[in-house]
Amino acid sequence: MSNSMVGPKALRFLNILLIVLFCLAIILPFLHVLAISFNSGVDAQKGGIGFWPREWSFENYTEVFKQDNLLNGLFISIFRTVVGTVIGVALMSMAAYAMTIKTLPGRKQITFFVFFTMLFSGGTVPYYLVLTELNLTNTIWVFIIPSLYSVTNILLLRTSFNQLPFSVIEAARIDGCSEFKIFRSIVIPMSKPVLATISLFTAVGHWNDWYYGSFFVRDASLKPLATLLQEMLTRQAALSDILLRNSGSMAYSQLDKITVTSESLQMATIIVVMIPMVLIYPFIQKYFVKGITVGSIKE
Amino acid sequence: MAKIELKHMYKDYVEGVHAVTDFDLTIENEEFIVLVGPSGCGKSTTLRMIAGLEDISSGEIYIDGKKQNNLHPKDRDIAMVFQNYALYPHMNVYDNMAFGLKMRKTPKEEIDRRVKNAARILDIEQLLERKPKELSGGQRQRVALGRAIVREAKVFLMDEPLSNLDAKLRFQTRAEITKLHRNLKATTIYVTHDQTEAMSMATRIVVMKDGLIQQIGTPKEIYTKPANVFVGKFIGSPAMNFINTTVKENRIKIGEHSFELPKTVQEKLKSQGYSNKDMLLGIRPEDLELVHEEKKDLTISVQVELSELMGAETLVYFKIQNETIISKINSMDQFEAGQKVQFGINFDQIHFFDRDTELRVPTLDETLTNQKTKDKDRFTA
Repeated sequence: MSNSMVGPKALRFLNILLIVLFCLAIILPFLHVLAISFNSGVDAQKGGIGFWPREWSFENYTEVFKQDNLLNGLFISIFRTVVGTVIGVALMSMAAYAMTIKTLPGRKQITFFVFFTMLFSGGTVPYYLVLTELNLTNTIWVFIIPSLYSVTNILLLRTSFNQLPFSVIEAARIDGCSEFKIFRSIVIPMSKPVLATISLFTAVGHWNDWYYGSFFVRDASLKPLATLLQEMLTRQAALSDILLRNSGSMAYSQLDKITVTSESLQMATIIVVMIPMVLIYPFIQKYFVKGITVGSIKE
Repeated sequence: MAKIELKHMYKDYVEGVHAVTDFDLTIENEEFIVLVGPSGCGKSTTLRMIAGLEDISSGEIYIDGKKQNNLHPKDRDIAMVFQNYALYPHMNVYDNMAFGLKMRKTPKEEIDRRVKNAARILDIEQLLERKPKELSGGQRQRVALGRAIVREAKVFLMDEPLSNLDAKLRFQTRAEITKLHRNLKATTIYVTHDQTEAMSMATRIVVMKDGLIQQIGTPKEIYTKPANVFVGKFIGSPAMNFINTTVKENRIKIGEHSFELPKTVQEKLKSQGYSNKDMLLGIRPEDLELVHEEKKDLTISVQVELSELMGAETLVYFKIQNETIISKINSMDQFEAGQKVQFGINFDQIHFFDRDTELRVPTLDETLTNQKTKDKDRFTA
């Protein structure tokens, strides 16, 4: 074998090794979480559970689904995720596309104005006051409207749009498209990978967010799933503490009934919250590929 | 099918860069105009200004007498073919061609008829369902042409459409575009840096340099009567040879050789004040003819540096006054480096240029003013 062949082969081996290690770093913790979630909580506390449950139990999941308002919370979460993502990505991509138009009056100033907000944060209290002034607190729109823009996402989209072949946009202009038509019929279809990425970021952000539900709504019927689960975990942790402190005075029969711990419940919660996102991923995964513009222009 | 009037067009950038300066040209109906020049000469900018893709700093554009300056590209009734095809990657060939018509709300049946007709003309009927990524470079360029054809626009603008194709395909597509123009009869403005394309396709050529028009004329006029040194060098392959010379007592000196000028040339030079003056002599490579015998005052003796066989022709390189001179001879003879050969000069076809202004001094049976008048007459007749 010539020396010139060793380099690329070694590099290939190193690449595969790194990818395998990276995959293991994601899959192993997931399997561990899954195993504990299906294991009796008390038994899990003894430790030693790897990637398969030792004492099978569905008690953790039963406990999670016992939660009041869970279905309502699920609806709120789905609503804010779908509506928030669709409107948010539509508005962010329109803003980003506008910022790529060189003839836009005040383009630099607008870009700076958007970017500037990345540098400072008003803090929770002023933010709360603003939301209250806008009559958004304790309404479902508090989950949607403030999250309609993300500067990071806008800048990501702008960079991506800037990389589209400009001649294609000019061709559309000559073909008779208005700017909005160019955006809708040319830019959007050519930007599916970045839009899929931004949509996933936004959707995951909406789905996982418990903060808005905890601080900006009081009505229990407006709490999204993530907030309900977070509140349940807090309650369960407190309950476990009480149980542990008082275990000496409790009857053995009572102690035997407790199979759920805050840790096992936490693991089941992670799985419950994660599943919808895991189910969505295969549908948008096909867009996470390069080469959507292949054939459009001579590279 | 339109007359285009470009009146004193300028394109200046904020940084003080003048991309196009005083571009003034009237293009008659059905003409095939080629804008040619080196990179950065302003030819593409001019085309883009006509298309409406670039603002005009000053000047006016008229198509069929209608001012276009403030019209959106879509309202100018133009079709454009881009250098890099600019196809819509997510649409198949049919939709790529139909898109412009759909935008103009053309009835479906009419769209179908036009797309299929264009596909038949371009021989891409079997590709209509394919996406651009499934096509070769040549096929993509045909689709780009098809997209322009279906529009049945008054004006075709083509921005170096062949520059991304390989030599064989370029040759083939060049001929097809010429045929297409003959059939469609659309007024066409074609941008290229390739002088062969310009010479073979144009009804008139506009040679540009640094944003300025250097010369406008038919391919023959541009080749046989270059307005200045730049045009002489740019048009023709290999380029025109230039030698510093002095016109003295009806003779010119080339290296160690002295030649008597033909009477007509002597008189023309004299009448324009070019006797006893340093000048630039321009000789096309084919006007240096290989002769077998040395004849005093008629031939020039040189040492061959290199010879290149180009097929039926051979290029012979040698030096005169430290300048590399190329001769194109109609034979397949090969020469050794250092070999002594003689060339005769075709004095009827030599060109004199003013050494200061680099402008050509008309010595043949024409003046530059006559030439312009002839151009005009040709299209108004």
